[in-house]
Amino acid sequence: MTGADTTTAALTTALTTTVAPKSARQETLAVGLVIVVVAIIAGVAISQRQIVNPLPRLYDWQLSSFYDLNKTDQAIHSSLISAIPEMWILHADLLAQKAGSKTEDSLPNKVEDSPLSKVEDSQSSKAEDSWPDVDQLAEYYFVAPFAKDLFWSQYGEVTWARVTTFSFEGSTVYHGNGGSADQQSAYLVVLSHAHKGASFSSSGTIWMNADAYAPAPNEVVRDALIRKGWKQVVAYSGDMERRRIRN
Amino acid sequence: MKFHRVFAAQLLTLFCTVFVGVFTGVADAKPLKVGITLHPYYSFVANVVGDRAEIIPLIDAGNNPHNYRPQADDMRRVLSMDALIVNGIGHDEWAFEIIQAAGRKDNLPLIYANSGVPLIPIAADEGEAKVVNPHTFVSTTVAIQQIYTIARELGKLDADNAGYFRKNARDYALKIRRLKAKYMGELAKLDTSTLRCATMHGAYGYLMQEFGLQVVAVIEPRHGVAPTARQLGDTIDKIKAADVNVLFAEKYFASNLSETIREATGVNMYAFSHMSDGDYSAGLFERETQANLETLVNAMRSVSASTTETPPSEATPSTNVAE
Ligand SMILES: [Zn+2]
Repeated sequence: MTGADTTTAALTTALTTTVAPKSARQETLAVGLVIVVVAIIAGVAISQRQIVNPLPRLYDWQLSSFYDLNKTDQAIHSSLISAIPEMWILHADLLAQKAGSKTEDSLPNKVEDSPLSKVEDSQSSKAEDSWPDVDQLAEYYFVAPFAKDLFWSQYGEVTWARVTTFSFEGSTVYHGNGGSADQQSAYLVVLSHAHKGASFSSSGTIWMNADAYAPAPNEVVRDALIRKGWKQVVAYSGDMERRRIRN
Repeated sequence: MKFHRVFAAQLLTLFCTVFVGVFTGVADAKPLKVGITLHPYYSFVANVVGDRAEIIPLIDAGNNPHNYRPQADDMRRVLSMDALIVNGIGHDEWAFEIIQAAGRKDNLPLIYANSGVPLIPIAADEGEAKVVNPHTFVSTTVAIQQIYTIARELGKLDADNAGYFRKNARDYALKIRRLKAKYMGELAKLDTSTLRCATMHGAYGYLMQEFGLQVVAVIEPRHGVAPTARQLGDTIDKIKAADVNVLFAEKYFASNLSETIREATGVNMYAFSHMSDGDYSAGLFERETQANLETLVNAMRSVSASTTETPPSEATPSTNVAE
């Protein structure tokens, strides 16, 4: 509902009140005038409605989530963006558990119910290991796109995993490939530890590869990813839309 | 003389101490007054803040947010707010008129619930300009993202309660996820491959995306703006050509339009909630989401009935699954 809708609505009222002219000539004039006004307002309405200048400008190694992705990739992108804050929160939990300190908001349920507690003893205390794996996200927290539900089956049954075969020096990487939906990509979520300790972060980047079977990369430096055919997805966010509407 | 001066200084110190003490004491105890524009945001904030903030709906319940005209009372309410939570991407533009009129453009902190949400277009025909869908609040996953954003931003305004808000946001998010998971389970038993749906208005794009369901046609892409006779004719042709078998209309903004389309095409019609009706309440979002998901399951059951044998209504009790 932008200003364009209001204008069109107002116009409809204007139209209905312009009837009953005195003479045929006046009528023709009135109709002509109305047509011109309609044309102008429709033009304005259309130009207001289009995203004229999507910010920011994209490089050829980037994709717009709004314009460039097909329905499947768009849905998976949306779900990954929403999953990122959850990954960070669980990461903070795991760090807190390792440090032996339970903060007030450590877990939504009792700690003994949590699958996270299983990880505690079995892994080393390296910060890179303090990340939830895909099964935890899926089975305990029902987080899309990892949970094996209707979303997962409708969007190609992608195989997801946290990449642990390589050490990425300061990044945690989740990888998904092998999806069977039409024109589906392979996916990468890169969480950089630059914001280490931020329990409420939502930072992370999402990359897609047109080859649905693209394997996980062994480094996530930008140029290396680009060389392997990965493209970074730039979300068209509420922030951008707000700036477009209201500067 | 000297005694007097010392006494005066002491008195001043004492006065300052008492004054500052009272002042900060009051500031600490005073809960935030958080404004909201749309019904779901009331639910989100209520679940995040518990009893540690006051929620002020900007406009009275019972109004249609699609053609709302600001009232005098709205100005009064916006003056009392410490912050206002907005959709900000096209579904509450009237809020900005109210803020402007009340002279709070420069001193009212706004929390943009959608700031980090990746927006999707309203399902459009090939070649048509892509238009942003502002209905991010009719969803589950994208709703959770907004809940986290709200909790984080409120925590910045009320640092003492930041941890409390965060914990509540997580509990609430898990509740919503459980609700969604339950209906995902119901839908998994059905054959969804034959569903070809159209919706009135673009309100359900995010919800359908989260359930992996495609919308073949959107009949009223601009809310409140009825299509012309010719557009209606085209729509009916489109529905027939695309083999649409379910039309999702709106529960509260009932329109003759959907009835006309049903008669012309013979599609099954189901009603979704746009979440803008009734009183503001903490439970509204979960209740309406549950109703929408139940509707979705029923619609799916009707289209898959011909292909698959499924036990009738063995589940979907109307109690809240998310304990
Ligand atoms: Zn709407």
